[in-house]
Amino acid sequence: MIDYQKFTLSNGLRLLFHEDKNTPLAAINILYDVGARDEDPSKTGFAHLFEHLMFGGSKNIPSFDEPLQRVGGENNAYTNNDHTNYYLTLPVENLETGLWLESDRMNELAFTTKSLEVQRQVVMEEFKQRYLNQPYGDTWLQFRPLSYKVHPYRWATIGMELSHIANATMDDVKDFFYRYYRPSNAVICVAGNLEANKVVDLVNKWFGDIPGGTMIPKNIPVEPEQTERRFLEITRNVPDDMLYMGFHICGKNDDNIHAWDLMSDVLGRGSSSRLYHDLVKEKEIFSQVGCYITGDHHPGMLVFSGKIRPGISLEEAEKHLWNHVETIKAQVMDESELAKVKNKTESGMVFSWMNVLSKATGLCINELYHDAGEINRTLGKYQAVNGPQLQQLAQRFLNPHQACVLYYRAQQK
Amino acid sequence: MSIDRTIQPPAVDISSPIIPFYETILLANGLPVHTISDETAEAVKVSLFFNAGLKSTAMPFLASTAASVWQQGTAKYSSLAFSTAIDSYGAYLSVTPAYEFTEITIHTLAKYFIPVMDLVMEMILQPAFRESDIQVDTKNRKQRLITELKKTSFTAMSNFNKLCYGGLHPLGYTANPADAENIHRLHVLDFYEKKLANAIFSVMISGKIGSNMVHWMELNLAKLPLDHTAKVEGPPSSPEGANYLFNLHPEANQSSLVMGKSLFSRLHPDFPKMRLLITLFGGYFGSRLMTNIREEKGYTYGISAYMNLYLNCGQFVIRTDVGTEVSAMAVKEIRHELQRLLDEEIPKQELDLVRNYMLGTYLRSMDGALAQSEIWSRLLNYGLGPEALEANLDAVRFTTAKDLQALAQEYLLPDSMNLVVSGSLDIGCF
Repeated sequence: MIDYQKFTLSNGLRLLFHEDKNTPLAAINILYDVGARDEDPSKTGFAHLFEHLMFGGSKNIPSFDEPLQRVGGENNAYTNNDHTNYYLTLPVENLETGLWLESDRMNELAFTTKSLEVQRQVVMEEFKQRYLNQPYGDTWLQFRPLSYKVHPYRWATIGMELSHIANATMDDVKDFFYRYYRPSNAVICVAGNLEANKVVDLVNKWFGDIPGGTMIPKNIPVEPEQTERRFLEITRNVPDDMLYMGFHICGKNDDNIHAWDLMSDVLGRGSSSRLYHDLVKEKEIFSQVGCYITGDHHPGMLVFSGKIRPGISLEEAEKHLWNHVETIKAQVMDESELAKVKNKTESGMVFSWMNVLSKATGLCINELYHDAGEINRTLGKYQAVNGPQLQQLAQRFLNPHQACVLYYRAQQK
Repeated sequence: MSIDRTIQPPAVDISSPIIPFYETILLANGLPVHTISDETAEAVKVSLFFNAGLKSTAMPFLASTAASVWQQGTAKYSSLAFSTAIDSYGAYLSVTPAYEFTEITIHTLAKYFIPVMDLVMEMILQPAFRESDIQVDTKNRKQRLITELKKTSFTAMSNFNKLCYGGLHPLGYTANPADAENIHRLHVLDFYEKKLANAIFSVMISGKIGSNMVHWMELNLAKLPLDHTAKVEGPPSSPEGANYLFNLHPEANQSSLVMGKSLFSRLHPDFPKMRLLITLFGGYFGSRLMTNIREEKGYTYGISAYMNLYLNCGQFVIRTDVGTEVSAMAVKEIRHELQRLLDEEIPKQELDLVRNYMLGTYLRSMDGALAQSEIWSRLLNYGLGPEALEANLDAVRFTTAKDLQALAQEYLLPDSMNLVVSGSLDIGCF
């Protein structure tokens, strides 16, 4: 059980507070409700580029990192398709420095040309390092547009292509900031050995006078239901063939998401999973194989992926994956197999909540997509999943006309 | 009244952090069990350390294969039955083969400690090491290595290791995919029997520790034969002469650069001070390398400098992936930053910032029983204790700019560095 209190500032900023007496640190997590899905299709990669610019100095503070490091703090951030998250930890006595820094960059960025020019270069190098200069690095750049035709999940957070980043202008930066980086579009959580009223006073002091902004309705197109199998085959200079097979499932807020998560665990989590045992150990079809859900806010995917052993064809490997899909559809899952993945989920949560920052981040994410209290209901929802539910979901959503299949072929030597 | 946002709120000095300690229980066989208790936790982490690892064999892949297959079944359980049993308790089990030590780590809810540890005990005493499991493991290991060899970052680092340690040393040997095929059950069994089975020397347990757990250890771990051999038995390293190497990756659009040299061991008296110097140089986001090469020039997504130190050898490493067209410029800037450490005294403000950053890092690394267990294990396994931690903190607090400049002059001469480049362009530095 994670206790918390919730407050809302007059400018719309939602504040969560969690008391943790066991740590000398305080955590501040700020989640902005903006991600790659909010981008213009001709300017993709922008939400992530913008995250870099948030470290390039704010109106009154030329460097974000330096004053934080000077009081013993450390911070980072990430952007995904749904949201952008900024987080820091520091000695609890120095909490106010963290609030001072975060509030100034929420209030107004410095918008320096130098920062934009340099970070464009840095992000283009990041694009190359992660997606282009790695074997199999471009898989998701290919698999997303195969799976989504309309919804902005069709592009990756890094962007569709390098040129979109190269062409970003200062006007784009300012527009994005005033549209999305407003208190009403953010959730902050402060956690540590602190008192609620002191935290509320300090957050009000630093964030209270930032103009709230207006919530802009999101007009994100809904992905139409897939009616026939989608297939893409590409060839690259890599050692082994690789197979991706995905199915559209539900979003994070749907009642079925916990069942999908457990189904992916039964199939693909760890060395006692069905796919690993049958297709890596017994039949030696794959050298590695996995199954997971993307866990997006809007309807996401259940994805199978695996590297294929030399001498096995992609077609044959795909057939073996289908056999497992058919088994899930044909047989109600055994209670003990389901209990196994439920226990794993439970202990995963216990370990994760031993850390003050993961609790602060978890509270913010739950608040953004449900309400913070969902964090304490999640385990119960996993426990309630049953075998017939899994079977029905598989029968409804895991059919050949609903599959998106990518053959990532190794170039013949 | 509006606030003045240009003024930083008052900050509290953090230069005297509290050091949380561990307690040690000696089992009947002399095995030390270090404990760090957190009554509020629901879970527990156990680490079992064995004095064997990559150092213990000349056969490539053997130590890592043995570690991997060790957890794949026992005389009683098949590989699937064993992993299912562990997973059914929601526990996490891993066996990590490092250069000097092999570590078995268990994360489990406290309520399942006994049944989970009973399984682990069976694995320690009666591993199956089935040939079929070994063959699948080595074939897949081979495939992974073939993929790794396509990565510029991998070939750069493995060639750099060869320069630092010599091609015959376990840390310098560049593995060949075919090596994996030579490993069979008899090798793994021999490694287990001669190297691992008698090699436990330390246990660390952290989190919710109950008296039933201590009792379990007295009943079980006290039966294991204890390692009495010296902690170092690895071969001496023999650094190679070359100082520039280029590996061609025709399709690469970035170069992976590794610059650095062989360095002293973890026990060297200069280590604590050197850690401060290298953090300032390339060990945090605001470091000189990051500031110049990423934040000023935009040549890279990231650049770092660090030390890999062991009981009888070590290395200093600078690593980055940079755009092909700016590779030579990046090398020039790295050398420039090294030279600056030799030529100029570090300004007080910068040094104070790094001191505080490192003290904050110390607090983070000591946050919670599980985190503390990692810090203490790293010291205790090397025969070090609380005094070494104090010495590290003192070095952070008190090393002067003059001391650091002298260290740079002794260890960080730009011309003493090796450089390895993997990419599509031979930049021919040096």
